[in-house]
Amino acid sequence: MSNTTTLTLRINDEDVTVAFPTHHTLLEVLREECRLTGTKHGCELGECGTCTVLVDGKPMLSCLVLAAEMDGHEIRTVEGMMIGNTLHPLQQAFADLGAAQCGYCTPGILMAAEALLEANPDPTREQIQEALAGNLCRCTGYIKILEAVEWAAATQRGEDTPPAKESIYGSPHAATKGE
Amino acid sequence: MRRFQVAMPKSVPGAVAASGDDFDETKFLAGGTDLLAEIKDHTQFPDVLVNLKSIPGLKEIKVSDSGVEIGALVTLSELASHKEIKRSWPALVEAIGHAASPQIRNVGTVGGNLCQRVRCWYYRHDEYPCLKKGGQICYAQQGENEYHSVFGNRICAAPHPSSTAPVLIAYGAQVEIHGPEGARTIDLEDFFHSPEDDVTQENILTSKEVVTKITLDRANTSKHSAYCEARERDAFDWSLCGATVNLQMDGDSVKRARVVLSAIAPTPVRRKDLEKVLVESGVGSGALEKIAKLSIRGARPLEQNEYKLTLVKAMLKRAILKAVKG
Repeated sequence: MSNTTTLTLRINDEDVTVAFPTHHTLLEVLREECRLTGTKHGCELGECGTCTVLVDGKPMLSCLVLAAEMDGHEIRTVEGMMIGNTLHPLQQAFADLGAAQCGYCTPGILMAAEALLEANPDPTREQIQEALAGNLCRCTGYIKILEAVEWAAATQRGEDTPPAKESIYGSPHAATKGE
Repeated sequence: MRRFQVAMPKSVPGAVAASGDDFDETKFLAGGTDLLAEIKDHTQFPDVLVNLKSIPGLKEIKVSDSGVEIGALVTLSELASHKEIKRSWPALVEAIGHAASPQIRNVGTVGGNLCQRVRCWYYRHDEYPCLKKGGQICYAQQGENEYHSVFGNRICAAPHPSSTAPVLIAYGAQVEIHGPEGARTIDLEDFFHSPEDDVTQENILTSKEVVTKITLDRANTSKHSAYCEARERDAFDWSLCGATVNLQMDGDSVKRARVVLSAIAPTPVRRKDLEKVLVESGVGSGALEKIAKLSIRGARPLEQNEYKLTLVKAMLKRAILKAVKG
């Protein structure tokens, strides 16, 4: 047993050898030692989901797992989502639809959504809600996030089904009311 | 987070040997979703975490003709997605589905779920030296007690948060515990203890004892079993009140019943009095009213949580009706 641990972590398909304090979480090591700051510090207690990363393909909270336990595991962070120079369909859909406001929860939501689409390329709205139940967003009200995941799923399936005009331009009913 | 070291034992006896004489010395680390948050919240101060994940064999689900053995380190998602568990112990899958979030269920283990500490905000706040932390007072008695216990709350009012425990008890689960004297197996029902026994712990484990296995016997399950709970939010929230009902039925009559209430007392509460009524009076509307009335007898609601009595009656009736339907 020691106060410092040295490990070779497998992050976004690259091996990274890092030395870190043994009691540090995966979140701390990703951000501080690996300089991968896409993954965010949120509540630190497992209540908000913004630190979500994929470990062996499963969404986990990097604030509640120790980096010292990650030997032999595949870690994926939001930095590993792009395919070459192209945004992942989820990233593209979130950007095009404006499914973010302050953006702090977005990396965690993207990771949870990626794991969902990997397991289920054609999820229902309810399945998306279940998969994202552990990710809090305090700005958007979630509707655009859900639509962006649906849109990205459709894109990945090779379908072109953009969201309803109301999602992009606002509700026509609300617009009429405002006139 | 406070500094600690991590021991990586390779066997259960090795883990027991690495454990210290009190909880400030060592804590066993399973999923860590509760323990690491507690260390960050300054409610636990272990110098060493004894990591159980480095031990092979604790992550297995073994199915046999007589039942199933669940390794303590099986995660909640692994358990809820297991084919045989889904088929034969449906209320367990239902309860897990409501627990925490997908991320936490991917890490949190069934053993850890049974051993997790209470969610009382006075316990979790480092500025409140409550009874559980060796202090002199239960702040919830006169304080903000909306989410606290309505039964057995005279000493400590923090309700037990586990949603798998009541269901496992309703299915007659047994737990295997390893300690310095070797292994022993007890009924899960006898695993938890009340604040009267020892207010600082919710179960019988010492710092040198660890849960290694949960066993379910097929003879104690039934398709007429159900779990219902009430929450404030639809997802990612703690149960305010849970009811588990496990009935062995013969036509319309109940041959055997198990009823367990949760999130309303410092331990999951098996209600043999209600089980007796179910067997004697069945599940007609008259019997249900009688059971509902009886279910809240002896309750002692605090200033802000009388609403839980309504929930106890409602969740119980709902769980019975769902169980009967099968």
